[in-house]
Amino acid sequence: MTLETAIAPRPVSRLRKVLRNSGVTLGGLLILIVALLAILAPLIAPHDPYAQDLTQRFLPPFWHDRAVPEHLLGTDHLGRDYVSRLIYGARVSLGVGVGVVIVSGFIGISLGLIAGYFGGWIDMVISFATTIRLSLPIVLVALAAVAMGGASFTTLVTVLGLLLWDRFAVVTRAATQSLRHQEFISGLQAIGARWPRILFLEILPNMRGTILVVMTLEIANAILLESALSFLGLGVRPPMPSWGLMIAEGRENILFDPWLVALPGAMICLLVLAVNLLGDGMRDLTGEARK
Amino acid sequence: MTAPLLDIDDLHVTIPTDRGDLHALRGAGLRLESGKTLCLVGESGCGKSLTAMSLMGLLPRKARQSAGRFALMGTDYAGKAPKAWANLRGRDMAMIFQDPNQSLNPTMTVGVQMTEALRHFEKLSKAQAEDRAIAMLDRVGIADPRSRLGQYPHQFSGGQRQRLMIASALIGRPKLLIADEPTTALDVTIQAQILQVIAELQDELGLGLLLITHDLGVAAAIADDVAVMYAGRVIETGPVAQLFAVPAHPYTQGLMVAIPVPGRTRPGTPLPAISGRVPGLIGGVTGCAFRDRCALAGDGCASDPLPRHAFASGGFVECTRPSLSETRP
Amino acid sequence: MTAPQTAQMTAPRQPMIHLRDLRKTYSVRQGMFGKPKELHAVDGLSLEVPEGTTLGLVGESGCGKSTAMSMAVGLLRPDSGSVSIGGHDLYALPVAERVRLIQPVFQNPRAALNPVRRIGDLVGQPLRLHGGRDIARKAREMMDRVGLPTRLFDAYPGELSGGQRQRAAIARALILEPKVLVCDEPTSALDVSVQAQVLNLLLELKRDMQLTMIFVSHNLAVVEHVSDRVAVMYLGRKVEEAPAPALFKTPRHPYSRMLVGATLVPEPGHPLPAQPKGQPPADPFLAPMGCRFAPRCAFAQPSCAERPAPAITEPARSFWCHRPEAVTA
Repeated sequence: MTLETAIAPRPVSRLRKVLRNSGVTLGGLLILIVALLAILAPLIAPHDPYAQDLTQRFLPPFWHDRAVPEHLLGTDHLGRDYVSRLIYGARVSLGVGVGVVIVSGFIGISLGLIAGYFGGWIDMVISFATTIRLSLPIVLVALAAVAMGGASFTTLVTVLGLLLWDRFAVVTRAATQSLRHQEFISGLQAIGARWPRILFLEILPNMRGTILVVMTLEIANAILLESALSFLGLGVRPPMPSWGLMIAEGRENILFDPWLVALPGAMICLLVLAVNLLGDGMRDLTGEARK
Repeated sequence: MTAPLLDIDDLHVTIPTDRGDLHALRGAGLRLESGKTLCLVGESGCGKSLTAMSLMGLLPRKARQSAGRFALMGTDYAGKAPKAWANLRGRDMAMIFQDPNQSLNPTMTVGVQMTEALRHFEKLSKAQAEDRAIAMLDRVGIADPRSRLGQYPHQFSGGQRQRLMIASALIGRPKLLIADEPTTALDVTIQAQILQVIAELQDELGLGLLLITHDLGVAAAIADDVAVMYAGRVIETGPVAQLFAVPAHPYTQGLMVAIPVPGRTRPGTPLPAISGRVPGLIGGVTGCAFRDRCALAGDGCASDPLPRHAFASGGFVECTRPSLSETRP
Repeated sequence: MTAPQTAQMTAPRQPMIHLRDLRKTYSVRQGMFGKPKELHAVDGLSLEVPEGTTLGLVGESGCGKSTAMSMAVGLLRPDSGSVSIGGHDLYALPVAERVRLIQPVFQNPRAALNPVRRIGDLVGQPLRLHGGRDIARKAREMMDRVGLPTRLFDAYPGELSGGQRQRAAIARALILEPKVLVCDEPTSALDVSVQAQVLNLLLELKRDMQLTMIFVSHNLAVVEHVSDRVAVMYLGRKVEEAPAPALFKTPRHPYSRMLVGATLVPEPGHPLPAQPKGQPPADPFLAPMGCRFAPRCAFAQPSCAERPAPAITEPARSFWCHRPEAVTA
């Protein structure tokens, strides 16, 4: 139908539209808070997250009778301040999330662009690689990789980055396929533009919205995997404060001091929820619902 | 005098957008007699497709509609519940679209799609309905109709699919057929065939045909009456011969000379183009919507209502220019 | 087929662009294990366009005109045959030189400009890729030249009207000052009033920049208006070539006659063109090795389908037909 010609095309207030979307506002705000905590951790944290004080072990949070005002959310089994550890833990979670997505996004987007643009046997090879990747159980592969490479933040980011590119590849490939027959691509070929330029400078910016949505999904995914792997002892190593690791360490005392598990668990939930809210909201805004 | 088949007056459709209300139809009106063809012509965004959507009850859900008169075969539905009008759809009114793929279900055989409505409305048996479908397919020029009944839409070529659409639309023997750019997507030789089929069937069935097109050639070939739309209003209407011979509205005149016609326009010479562009319809327009592009615009053009001059030969023009009545009967 | 269609034309000047016996075959597999079939998209096409003139290329969908033009601008390599422009073999030239010889303008201005780039950026991009200087100034000049307000320099394509977008696409194609411009249905997606503006612009630019043009369209009236000569294609082959007015007035090939006959003129009173009924367009896979139009031709004899039609040359015109005397009679 021809309505759009009558509606002048310029979007009036993009910002207002974005803010009206509660998912983006709420999710974005929560992520902003967590990001600020992570970045400003040394300034905000009331204590050194590594400082042990064995006389102050297992202090409960502030709503408890035995609480000490100095340790607002109590201390863990080594007497380390829980607030500080949670704040520093945000660094690990966000760091893993962002780091993994940088690696996996680069791999997946490149493969998807190339497969979608060239088609033919190149597409078949890349699609086959994607299928193989989808058949690998992530936790088991990570386990094997960590067993060989040793548990560390870098190993974790590398391994997850090398594993979580499939969704990027699938989405980018589909979007590229629908764009590659547009006339502007032929026009670019006709003015002598080469394929890397066409792929990365011309086609890629057209899928910003879609890729941002996939990014949020994968960040949430990576954060959950980090927690799980750290809990299993395959992620970051103690004494680094990771939320997953904190749950693992608090597990033994879950009966008497349940907050040791509940607090980092709540942080994980909150961050993953926030990232997903943002992703869903953005998907609604960009109208590029694809999975 | 009997009531016209279709009589629409003062039709307004408003669509809320982020930037305010879009007044897509601003008092459009149509009159169509049984057995006649009315061509609704105009450029994209003028509201011609929206008029058809409104008639078929296919407007976007958020659109608001009001009409002074909304009558089919003498019954005015203007104030009545939308349901009453919706019941006419598929029985008394049918529609064909530019893109037949839009309205053919790719997962159902042609036979099932064609007979569904018949069996529902007319309570025909499967065999009776299929006989009707076969006769109809044969009538629109699809060879070997009995075996094709079991095929799926993708097994038909573009032109055949449009024939299929016509057959499906007419199988329920409607009184009114609305065709929205039915041949725009087709090659010229196929276009001629399809128009031929439509015109013949219209004669046989005594159909009223409302044909929407941007192509003045199609209108000239098939119309009895032509209505020219601009910015949500019908600005000029009349019998095809008079309207093409003496177009009265400056916009109609502009359209007529803007297209190259072999033998009439001199090849290689500049075509008289209409400058400027259609005004935005958000927030509404007062006066003549064409005045910014019109060489003859004067002071009177900015105020509502515009004078409407009726011609003795039928039709009218909505324009402030006084001298028109002398040129056209 | 061994006899190429060599047009014996009395070209007044050296051809600026010369397509020689271009062939392109696609192998189409039906289903995963189906036997691949050969589709002759372009089957021995030769065209010559003298400097500063326009050749119109007409034909219906699937006739191979778009494939042929992709080969002419170097986007697609033919299986055999060559393209020379100004005496240079197009496929032997480095890209940087090729792009200064020939540029395309596409049909759909909505899809022809990358939506995420600004207009000024898009117009200047060819220069930037090939190391030009003063790019922004030249882009503004070119925008001015095609009638695009320079205030749109920083606008996105989505903010422009269809006509403005087509102007931007033309500016982008012309900024490298190519010798040949290939326009593939440049006005088909535009409204008639805008179409006139764009056609006028192309005519003006052709004169001012001494452009040689190939103008591809299914709209015969438009082609006649802008072209000096017209070539008609059917299923991958040229069936007739003649000066534009002559082709329209006295088409000689049965297919040209059918096309011209099916074109609707915006003048009432002409009957709908009579078309052979029940004749679906030939399946390109089943097209005979001889005259490909034979299955649809009213004058065809069985022998027509066996051998390629011979060239019939007349002053300034050639067409390929087995039975020219029967057609004219």
